[in-house]
Amino acid sequence: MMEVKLWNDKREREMYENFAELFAIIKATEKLEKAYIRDLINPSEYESECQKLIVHFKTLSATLKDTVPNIERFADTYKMDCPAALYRLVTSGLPATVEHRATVAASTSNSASIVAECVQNFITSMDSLKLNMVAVDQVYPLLSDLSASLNKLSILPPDFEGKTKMKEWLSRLSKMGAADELTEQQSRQLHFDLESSYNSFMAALPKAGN
Amino acid sequence: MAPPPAKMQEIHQFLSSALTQRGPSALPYAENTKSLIRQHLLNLISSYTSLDPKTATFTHNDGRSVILLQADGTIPMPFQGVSYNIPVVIWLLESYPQYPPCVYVNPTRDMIIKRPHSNVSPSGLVSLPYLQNWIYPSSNLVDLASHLSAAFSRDPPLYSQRRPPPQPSPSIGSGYSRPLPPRQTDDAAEVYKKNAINRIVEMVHGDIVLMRSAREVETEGLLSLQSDLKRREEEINNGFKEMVIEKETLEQQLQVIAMNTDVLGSWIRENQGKAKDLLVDLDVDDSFECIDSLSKQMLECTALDLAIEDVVYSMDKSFRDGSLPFDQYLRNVRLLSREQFFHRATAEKVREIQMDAQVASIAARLHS
Repeated sequence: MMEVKLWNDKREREMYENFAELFAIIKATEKLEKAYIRDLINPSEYESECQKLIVHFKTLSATLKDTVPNIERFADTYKMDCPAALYRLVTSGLPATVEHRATVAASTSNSASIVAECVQNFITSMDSLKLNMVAVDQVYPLLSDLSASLNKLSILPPDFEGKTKMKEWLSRLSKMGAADELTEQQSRQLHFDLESSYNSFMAALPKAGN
Repeated sequence: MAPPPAKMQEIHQFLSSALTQRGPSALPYAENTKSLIRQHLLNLISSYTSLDPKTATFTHNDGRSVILLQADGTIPMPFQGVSYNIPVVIWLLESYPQYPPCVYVNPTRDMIIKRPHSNVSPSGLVSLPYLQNWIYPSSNLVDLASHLSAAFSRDPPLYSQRRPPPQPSPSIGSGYSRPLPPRQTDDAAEVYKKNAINRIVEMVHGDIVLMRSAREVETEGLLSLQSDLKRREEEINNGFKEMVIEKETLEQQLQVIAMNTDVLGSWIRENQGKAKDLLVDLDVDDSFECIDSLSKQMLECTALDLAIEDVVYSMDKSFRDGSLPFDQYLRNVRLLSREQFFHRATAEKVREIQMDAQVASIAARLHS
């Protein structure tokens, strides 16, 4: 009997290429989660890498929506043992640092740049919505950056409006497909939340500060 | 026994006073007959001390009321060796003594007038040949009383009532009293009967309700038991079917194991003699030879899969020790995992094909 080939045509090869990429993303996320738990990397490194993997995962799983309708079954079929990765990618959709609102101790010299980063992220997010960029894969990275920068600023309280609102929106978006778009009502609500959070953010800044 | 002189004196005074009354309260007797009336009453009282003269209002059948003299009391009635006293009232009407008086039997509360009676009507009025053959002036009250006593002895007019009447008897002196009307007695009996019937019906109804409740409870219990039994029957049937299926499955597995045992036995017999050449020119890579290309491919893919797993494990240790930077570590993990997937997927596909071939082979062998 002849040796078995994994694919027999171009379309099948493309499908298995995507499968391999999905497999690799899940495996890499598992390693990343373990490294973060063992304190082998710093939170900022973890967060940026995790953010990238999450975005790649959402994009790819949207592409494979028809052939891989259920990620858990995919993991079972190919005997993957990656519970932490599945939780992070499928259930949570947020890096652990963002999900648990870890506060990075920012020094005085970094505070100004972080404030500027927050302002920039607020404005970028609101402008993007006005430009009708309402797809999940367009909105999610912006909100993720904004949430990360807000978490880095130590002068803000843990229950700051902007933090809780962004966390809620990220959690909501993570349950949607990458190609899904916000409705007009959702878009207006998000813009309202961003504007309200921005005003609260500006009010929270010290007046005679750095 | 003659009445005592004091009583006779008193009666004398009473009669003199009554008969000499003038004006509205005068008695309606003729003047020339009053002395005879007086004598008749005195003679009567002398012979029958149980009678007393009185004045009382008498109501005629036409509704007229008039005050008359009467003799009120009892008359002895000897009967079966015992002397009874029959209560009577003797009214001296306005026409007395030219016409006979009216005599009434006056029963007490616990007495009933016998009916029918030859001399006494249901209302108590007495009729006697002596009264019907009354002759003035020879007929008198003493002889009348004697005839009454004799007539009553032959046929007693009264007997005791079993149950006392509810209402009290009218007082003596307020006219003649009449016995209870017969309807009241019948009504009482009917009322009692009706009450008894109602009571019995109620008791029966209550008993039936209780019995019905008991029967309903019993029936529900039995129906519940029946449904339990039916459910258990189904469970037992299902269990039995499952056991039959399990038995068939086990028999099939037994056949498979038996065949595999035969195959292994054959292999051992074939390779028994090859052990002698084992020590000469041993090459580990050639010690096992795959039976077909699928098995060879399966072995190759599994080896590569596990090799990559080992490489990743070593990289984990390097990264943990700090000898491998994080970015390189994660990038290589991703690359190696991607390659690992192809091997794992190929192995999975080969396994499926081998399984299908094995099933087909077993089926063919079963048919032969």
